[in-house]
Amino acid sequence: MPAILIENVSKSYGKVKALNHLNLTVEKGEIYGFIGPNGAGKSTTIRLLLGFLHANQGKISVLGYDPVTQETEIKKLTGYVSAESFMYADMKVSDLFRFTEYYYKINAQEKIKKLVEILDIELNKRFEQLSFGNRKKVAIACALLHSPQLIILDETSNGLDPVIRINLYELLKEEQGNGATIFFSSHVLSEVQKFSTRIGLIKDGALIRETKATDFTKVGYRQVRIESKDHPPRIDFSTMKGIAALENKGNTTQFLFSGDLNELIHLLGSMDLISLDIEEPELENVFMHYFK
Amino acid sequence: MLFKRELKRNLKSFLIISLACSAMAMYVIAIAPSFGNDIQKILDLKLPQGMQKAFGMKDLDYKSATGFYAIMFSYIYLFYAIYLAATFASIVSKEYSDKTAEYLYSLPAKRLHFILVKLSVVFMYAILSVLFIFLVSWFSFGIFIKGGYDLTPVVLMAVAWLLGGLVFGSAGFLISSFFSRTRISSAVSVGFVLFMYIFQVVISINEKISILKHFSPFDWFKGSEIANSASISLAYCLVAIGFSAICFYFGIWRFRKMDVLI
Repeated sequence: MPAILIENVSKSYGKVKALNHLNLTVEKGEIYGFIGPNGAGKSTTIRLLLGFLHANQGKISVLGYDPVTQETEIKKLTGYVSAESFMYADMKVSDLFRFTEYYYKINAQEKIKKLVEILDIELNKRFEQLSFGNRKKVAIACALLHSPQLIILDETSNGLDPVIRINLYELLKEEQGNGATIFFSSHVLSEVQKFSTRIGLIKDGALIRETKATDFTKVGYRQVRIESKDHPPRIDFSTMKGIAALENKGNTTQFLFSGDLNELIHLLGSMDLISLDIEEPELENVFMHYFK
Repeated sequence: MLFKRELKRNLKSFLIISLACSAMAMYVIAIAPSFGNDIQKILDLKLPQGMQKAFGMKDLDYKSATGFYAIMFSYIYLFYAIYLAATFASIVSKEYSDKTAEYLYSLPAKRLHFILVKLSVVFMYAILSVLFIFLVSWFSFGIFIKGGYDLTPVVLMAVAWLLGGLVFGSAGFLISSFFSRTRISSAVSVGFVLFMYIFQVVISINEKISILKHFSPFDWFKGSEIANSASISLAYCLVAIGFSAICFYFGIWRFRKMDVLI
């Protein structure tokens, strides 16, 4: 049984179609990175998993439960951090932990101590007194208090400083080591590439690419970066076959190339080159390739 | 835990409405013996008959303490209705407006549980505030009214406030399920109360449209009628309970089905 199963799910807000026959499966123990531009349907998908939204069509199963009719069972086993992480502004952080503990019917003092230390959380401040990043840390800690089987994070690393970000990913790796499945959306593509075991790319409410993280950048393109003494370059790359995402900056030219490499190298022979890099594209370049 | 939090969050408004209305009741009872029947002469000089009727001051027996007490029935009814309409309108919708609904609903309990806990707090405060006003009134009657007085109308007025207040509270709750901003839902709910109050005044002045009083909760329970007859209309009590039950049912249904859009 997969941790998350989304079959043919569509969701509209009035006339705006947020999800369009989305199919997605996340196996237990996976770290699934969910990427896409703003408005692609990432948050809608996440909210459907927790029963915050109701799908217009399709079937959703989270840890074997239906988010609409079995919401409590799902929430007992799930930890969720929203993109904006709003909690009760007038409550102290320590009270928010108590509030969360109460609903999970647990005594998580040991876990709280550990999370407070790793995420550097101030217990005695009221939530409204915290900065955006510190609020995020409290929300993350509350979501992890009960050692959930499924951790769902929506743009969670936004607003966190680099040290805490690294700590967070180490913490999540540890949770995964204990058997948790992690489903997260992020705009920090380098982190998604580094941290995920699988990556899904969503566009206009449908999954357009889904592979292992290590294979995600293998799109049949090579990233080419040329530095030459010629300015402007002697060759007009825009007319060549198999060229995408062409950029010229000073005497540096870079593009994604899917054509014949021999032909390209033959052409480059006529240029006065300083350096030439031909490598697999970074996730960011693949992302741009799909959305430019 | 949520119950405790909501109790604390709504304590201030409960204290304000309870103390303000109780003080008003106590003041009216305290001045009753010194004014007595003179108040009718003063009213006749200052206020036309139609206006007296509109504000529930006509047909009152000012010789009796409870008759005098009924003067401020409609005012307490109005303030209490505004209080309940605004409180019920914000109790659940505030979670959406403050964007805390996602956090709350991510905790392992059904949405219905959270809604019912929140409603139960306002119900409790609604009963406690009426009880508080009644007890202060009773206490004041004991202190200021030396002759005998009938307690039944005082009890029935408290029941009328509660039932009438719940009509507006439930309407406020249902209204709030249509708006994502608490400010708007509270304003619309309070606006509805004020509209119905003015509606009652207009009906009272204009005999031709008196049939409309069946649609006016402020006409269902009149201080003068309760004071004079020491009874309350059972039919209107049932209508008030039925109306409130329907509004709460549909309000809860809407909040349960509502998409959480933050």
